[in-house]
Amino acid sequence: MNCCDDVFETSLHYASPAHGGWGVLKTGQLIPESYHLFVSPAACGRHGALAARLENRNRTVSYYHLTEQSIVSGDYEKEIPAAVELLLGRLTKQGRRPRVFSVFVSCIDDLLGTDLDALTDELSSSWPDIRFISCHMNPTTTDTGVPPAVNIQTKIYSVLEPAAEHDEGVNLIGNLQAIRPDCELFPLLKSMGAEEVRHISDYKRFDDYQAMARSRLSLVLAPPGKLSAQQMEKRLGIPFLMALTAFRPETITRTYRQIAEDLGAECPELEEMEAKARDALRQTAEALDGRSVIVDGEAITRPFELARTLLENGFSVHSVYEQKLLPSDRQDFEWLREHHPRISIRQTLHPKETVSDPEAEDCIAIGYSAGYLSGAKHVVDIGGQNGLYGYRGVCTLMELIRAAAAEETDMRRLLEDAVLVI
Amino acid sequence: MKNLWISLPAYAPDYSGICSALFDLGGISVLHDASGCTGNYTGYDEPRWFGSSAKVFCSGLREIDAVMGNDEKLLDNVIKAGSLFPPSIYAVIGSPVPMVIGSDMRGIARELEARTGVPSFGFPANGLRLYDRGISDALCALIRRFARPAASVIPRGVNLLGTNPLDLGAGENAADLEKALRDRGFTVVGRMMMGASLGEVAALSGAEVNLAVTVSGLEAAKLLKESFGTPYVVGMPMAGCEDVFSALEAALRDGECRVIRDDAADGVLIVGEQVCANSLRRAIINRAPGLGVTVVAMTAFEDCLAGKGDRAVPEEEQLLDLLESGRFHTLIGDPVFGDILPEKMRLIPLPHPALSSKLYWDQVPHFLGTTLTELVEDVVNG
Repeated sequence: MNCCDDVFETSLHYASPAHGGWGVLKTGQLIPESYHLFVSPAACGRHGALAARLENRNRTVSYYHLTEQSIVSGDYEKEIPAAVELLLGRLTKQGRRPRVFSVFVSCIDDLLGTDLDALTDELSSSWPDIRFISCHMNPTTTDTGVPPAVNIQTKIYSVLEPAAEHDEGVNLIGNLQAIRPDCELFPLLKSMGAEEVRHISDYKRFDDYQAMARSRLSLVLAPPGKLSAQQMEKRLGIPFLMALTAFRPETITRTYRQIAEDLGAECPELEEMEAKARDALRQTAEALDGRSVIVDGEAITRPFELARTLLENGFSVHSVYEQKLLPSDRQDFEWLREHHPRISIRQTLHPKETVSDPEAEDCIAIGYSAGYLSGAKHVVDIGGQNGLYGYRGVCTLMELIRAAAAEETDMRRLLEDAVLVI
Repeated sequence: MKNLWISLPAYAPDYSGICSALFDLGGISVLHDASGCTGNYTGYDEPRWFGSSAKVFCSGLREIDAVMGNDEKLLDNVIKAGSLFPPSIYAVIGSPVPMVIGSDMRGIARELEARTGVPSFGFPANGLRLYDRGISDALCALIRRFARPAASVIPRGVNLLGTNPLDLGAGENAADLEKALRDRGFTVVGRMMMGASLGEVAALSGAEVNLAVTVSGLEAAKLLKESFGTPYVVGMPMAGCEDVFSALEAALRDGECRVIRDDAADGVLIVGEQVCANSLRRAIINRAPGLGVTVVAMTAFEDCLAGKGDRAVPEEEQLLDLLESGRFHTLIGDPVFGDILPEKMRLIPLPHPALSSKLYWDQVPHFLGTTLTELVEDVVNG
C-alpha cells in the first residue's frame, strides 16, 4: 500500500463552483499575435469561449464544430484548411493577421487520430508566413506524464526559434502569470548579471517574444514548466534550473544561492530579506491569535510546503485541500503527516466535499476551493496563478492573509471575478 | 461556412440539459467525462450551482479507461458515492469520448440498478446535440419510468413541462408562472423540472391539462397525451400574454391541444427558444397587430410549433445572412448577438442563458412581468 492511499483515493469528482483555473485556451493565448481554432464537438469549446468573453479574449479564437457525420467520415480534416483560409482572409482585412495559428483539438481526437502533423504541414505550406501548431485540450491525459497543463506549456514555447547566440537574459518558465513586479527576484537576478528577466506575458509582438530564445538560463518556477524547459534546453540550448515557488524562508535562500551558482555569480546578501519574511510570518501568526488557516492546492502549487512553513512559524493550520500529491511536495506532506497527524487533508474533488464543515467558518482559507468547500468566511483572493515568489511573495501572502482575516468575503462575488475554467 | 462559429459561443450541450433536468430530484448524476464537460455544466450551464448540494459528479474518465473500455471503475466509484449519500435515482450521462468508444450508457445504468436496487438511468449524450434535447430526453425517461395512472383527476390541475434555467434563468420565472396559474384558479400538479420531485413525476397523470413552456417540454407533453390522454398547450405567457391562459381554458373545455404561434413577417426578428419566442411574438402582435415578426431558433426548432416563414438557423453563418438580409430592423435576442449585428439594426437584449451563460444570466427578465411588457412597448414604439 502506498503511503498516500489512505489520503488520496480514487473517486468520482465533484467540481465545486470554486474549482478551475486558466484552462488551455488562455494559456495558448499568451503567444503574442496568435489566433486559435478549436476543432471539436461544439460542447468542448463552450466554457473556454465564455471565459474568453468574460475576460475580453474572445477576438482571437473561433470554433469549427464537429458533427456525428464528420466524426464518422473524417471529412472535417479536409474542411479545416478552408476554415483557416476564411479566418485568415477576415483577420488580414481587419489588420489582425496572426503570426501563430493554433489548431486545438479535444479529448476525442486522441481516439480519432487526426494526423495533426500532416495538417499543420499542409497549412504551413499554404501560408508560409504563419507558424501553425496543434494544441490539445484533452483532460483524459491528466494521469499521464504529459497532462494538458504541461502539454500546452510545451506548445507556447515551441514557437521560439533557435537564436544565433545567447545573451545574459534569464527566462521565467512554468508560471503563467508574471511574478509581481515588487519581487526581489528581479533586482537579485540583475545583480547576478542577468541583464533582462523574460516572461512570455512581457511580449505583445511575436518578433519581440523571440528574445526568450536568446536567454542563457531558464528558471522553472512551477512544475508544469519542467518539460518545456527540458525541451528548450534540447532545442534552443538553454539550460534550466528548478527554482520552484516556495514559502519556507530557508528554502528561498537556498534557491537564490543555487541560481547565483548556475549563473556563475556571487550571491548577494540575503539575510535581511530572509529576516523580513520571517518577521512577516511571525507577525501574521501573532495577529491571527490562534485562528486557523486552510491551505488550498489549487491556489498554492505545493500546499504542504506552505502548510509546513506556517506551522513552523507559529500558525495553526486547520486543513489542507489537495486532490493529488505532487512529487515535489511529497517530502513536506510526509513531514506534515509525521508531525501534525491530526491536520485534516481533504481531496478537493472528493464527493464528500459537497457537505461543508461548519467548524471551519472562522478560519482563513488561502484559495477559492478551500474557501468554498470549507465554508470559511475569510478567503484570501488568490488562484493558481498568483505571481507570488520569493521573500516578497511570503510578505505579500501574509498581507493578504491579514486583510482576509479582517473582513468577511463575498464568496459569490470572488468567484465571479475569478473566471475559472476546468 | 457550415460548422464554423467565428464569433458566437456554442449553446449549452445535451449533457448539461440532462443534469439540469435532474437537479432537484435528490439523485446522483454522473457525467462520464474527463473533467471539461462537467466543467461546462457546473461552471457555465447551471446558475443554481453556487451553494447547492446537488450531487452531480464527473467520472474522471481517463485515456487508459477509454482505451480498455473499463466501465467497472465507473460503477465502483458511483456505488461508493452512493454509499455516502443514498440517492433517489442514479443517472449516468455520456459525453464525446463515451460516444466515440461506444460506451453503453443504458447498459451501465442497468448494471448499476441491478447492483444497488436504485432506479438508474443511462443517457447516451454526446456533446454534439443541445441542452433542449437533453432536457427532453430526461423528462421522457422519468415519465416512462415513474408516471402512473392517477386514481382521480384534479379539477383544473395543470403540469408545467419544460421549465429549466437555461431558457428561463434561475430567477423567479418558474415561480411567477405557478403563481399566475394559481391566480387563475389552476392547481399546479407537477413541475418538470424546476422544483420537481419524484412524487410529482408519479402524479403527472392527475392533471387535466399540460402546459409546455419550452421546446424541451414538447415531447413530454406528447408522451403524456399518448399515455394518459391529457391535452396540452404549448406557450409561455410572455409579458403576461393572456392567450396562453385562454388556450388552457379552451383545452380544458374541449380536450384539444393548442400551440401559440403566428405566421412570420419581416420587420422584427426574434432569435431564441422557440416556444418563448412564439409567445413573445404573440404579445407583440396583440399590442401592434400590423407589426411583422419572425421567429428563428438556433436551438431546437419544431415544425409543429412554427409559424409560416419561421425557420431553424443552426449555424452562425445562417444567422449572419439573415441579419444582413435587410429584412429586419430590430433583433430581439441574446446580447452576444451584438457582436454580429449589422450597423443599422437595433438589438433589444433578451438574455438566453443557454447561449451566454453567466455573462447575462442575472439579467434574464421576469417573463410575465413589467420588464417584458416594457420590452414589448419598446419594440412597438421603435
